[in-house]
Amino acid sequence: MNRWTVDDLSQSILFPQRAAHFSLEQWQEWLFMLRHANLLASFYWQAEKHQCIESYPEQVQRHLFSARNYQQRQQQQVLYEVSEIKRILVASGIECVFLKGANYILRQCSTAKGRILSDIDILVKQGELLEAEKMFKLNNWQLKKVSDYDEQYYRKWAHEIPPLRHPLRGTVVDMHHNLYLPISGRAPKIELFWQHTEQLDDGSIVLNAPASLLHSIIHLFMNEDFTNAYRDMLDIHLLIADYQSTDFWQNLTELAKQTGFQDELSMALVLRARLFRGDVPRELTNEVQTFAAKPSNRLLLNVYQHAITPNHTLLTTWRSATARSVAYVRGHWLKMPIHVLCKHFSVKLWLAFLQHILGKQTDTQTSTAK
Amino acid sequence: MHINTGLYCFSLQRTHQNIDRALQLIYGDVPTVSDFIDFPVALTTGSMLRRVIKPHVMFEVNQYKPFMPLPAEHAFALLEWGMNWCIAAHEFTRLILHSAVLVKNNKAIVFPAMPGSGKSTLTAFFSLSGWQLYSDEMAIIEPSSALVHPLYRPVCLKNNSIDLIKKHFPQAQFTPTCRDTQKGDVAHLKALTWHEHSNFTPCEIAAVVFPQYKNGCEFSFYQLDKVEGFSRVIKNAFNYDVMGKLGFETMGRLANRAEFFECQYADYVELSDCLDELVR
Repeated sequence: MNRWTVDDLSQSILFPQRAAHFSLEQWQEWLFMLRHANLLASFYWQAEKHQCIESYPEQVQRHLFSARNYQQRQQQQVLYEVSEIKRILVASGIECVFLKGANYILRQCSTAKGRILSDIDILVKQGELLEAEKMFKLNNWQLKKVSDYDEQYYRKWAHEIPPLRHPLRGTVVDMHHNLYLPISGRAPKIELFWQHTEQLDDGSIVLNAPASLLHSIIHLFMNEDFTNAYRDMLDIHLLIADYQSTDFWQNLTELAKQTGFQDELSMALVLRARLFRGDVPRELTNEVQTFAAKPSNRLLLNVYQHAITPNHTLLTTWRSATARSVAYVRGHWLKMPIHVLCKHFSVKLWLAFLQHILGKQTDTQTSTAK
Repeated sequence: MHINTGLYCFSLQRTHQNIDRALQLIYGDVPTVSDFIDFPVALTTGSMLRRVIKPHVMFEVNQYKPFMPLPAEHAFALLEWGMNWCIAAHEFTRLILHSAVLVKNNKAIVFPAMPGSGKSTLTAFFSLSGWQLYSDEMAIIEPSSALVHPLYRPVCLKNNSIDLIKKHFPQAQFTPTCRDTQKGDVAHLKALTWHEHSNFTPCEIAAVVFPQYKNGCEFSFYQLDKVEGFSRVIKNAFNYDVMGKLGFETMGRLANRAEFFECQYADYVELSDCLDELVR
């Protein structure tokens, strides 16, 4: 039996004063769910903003402070790495755009408050990709070891190279030349995104607000991995809350149209309304209504609504489990043409067979027991 | 069931792992119900096939698996390591050192050490010889006061140390030995009761001693200056880097009050005198 709904989750994150009425047992479950969704520090900052931390039980405060300390330290590290990356690339005159988490932190928008990053995403021009990779290597960064299959996946089909890792600091940089896989046929004309960049006071280049939002939407809806989907949806909600204006919507709509992601934009706005009770902007009401009225889109929206639900036993229903599987297949479907996809799935199935049936670990990221 | 370690509470879910004896021995005297669970942990078995062929066990916390699976016989050791991991990976409000903590006369000595230095054997010996066991694995230090917290956990002994302590203290209570783990043979020693533990309070750190056991060596025990002590302690810290300024201030408080020593020993007779001197 699930005692929590996604609406409980969203409303108590956005209005943390509601949490003051939790029983100790509810608090316990609340912390488990948020930790699992990587949102404990985000919740801390929401609570801090609404000045309600002191009304929470002492045991709960301790976990929140701990998550905040970890996240603050990470944010400091990210700023350091950003300056390092700029130093490394500027020597060769290579321009780079900071994306996603690093972008939010540099812009200091609401989304950055408590945001945990797993890596730093950057965009460089395809013609400068090899030179940029060389510069990272000259500065002691190493390409993460991946299997031969994954290596060719990255180099031939993907919009990024294998992750770069600093051996001493452990930081990981994902270097992109596009925001989506060229092999999919859906990769946007990347020049359009380059035209939507801006320089911040510290000299860093980031996507401008509408382009940041559109990238976040592409990342969420054109993907197969829903591990952080709820967190990404919260990013989308908070970005809109921070930046919405008539100009913002106009620029966004235009960029979505030019790059072919109008449907994804509509999808994001419908789901934001369903999951965070966010209003669809007047400027886009017609477009969104037309999209949502189509029967096939209705199904799609239901699938994604449930797939975005955090995958925690306190929240998961049979619907969300099924939805995640469907969205997983669709995500792959979008990424690769059918002949590539068949091959990709057979390789991945074989690895899964080794892991689950024979118990052989193929995931190199899982550490050994200490 | 719930495992209350004093500072942190765990709820344990398990699927037919034969660890009842070890659990009963180590945590059997702890109050069974806690009102707040910090970490929901579980020991689970793998796929259907793996329950029959080479059965293994996985540690899970809040649906996350930090480690690779281990052979089923290592279940209790895995649980103990998993609980250590939970604390080390989530506690950033208190400074944590990889260290044993022993207390006498209401004064604590902290023994930070790398694996293989003989720390756990030393901890077992002294906790069975009149010292209070605050911790075998981690010193958890409160930033505002620099006091060290007691933790209700067993001592983890490896290889020859198990027989050595059993021979010296025939009454000592051990869990069944897990053979051939990646740390070799491992057994856990119950060195105190919940009743004793529940009377412990956070304690002032009088000294930090870096121990090094060396078979047949001449005994040496000398003081380090505070700068050297400080820098060696943080090399043994789990979360000093993450805690930033708070970690630095905590270490500052600790260094102002405590003295630092290094010692090399082959037996416990002379060492015992020196330690007694530090907490007089």
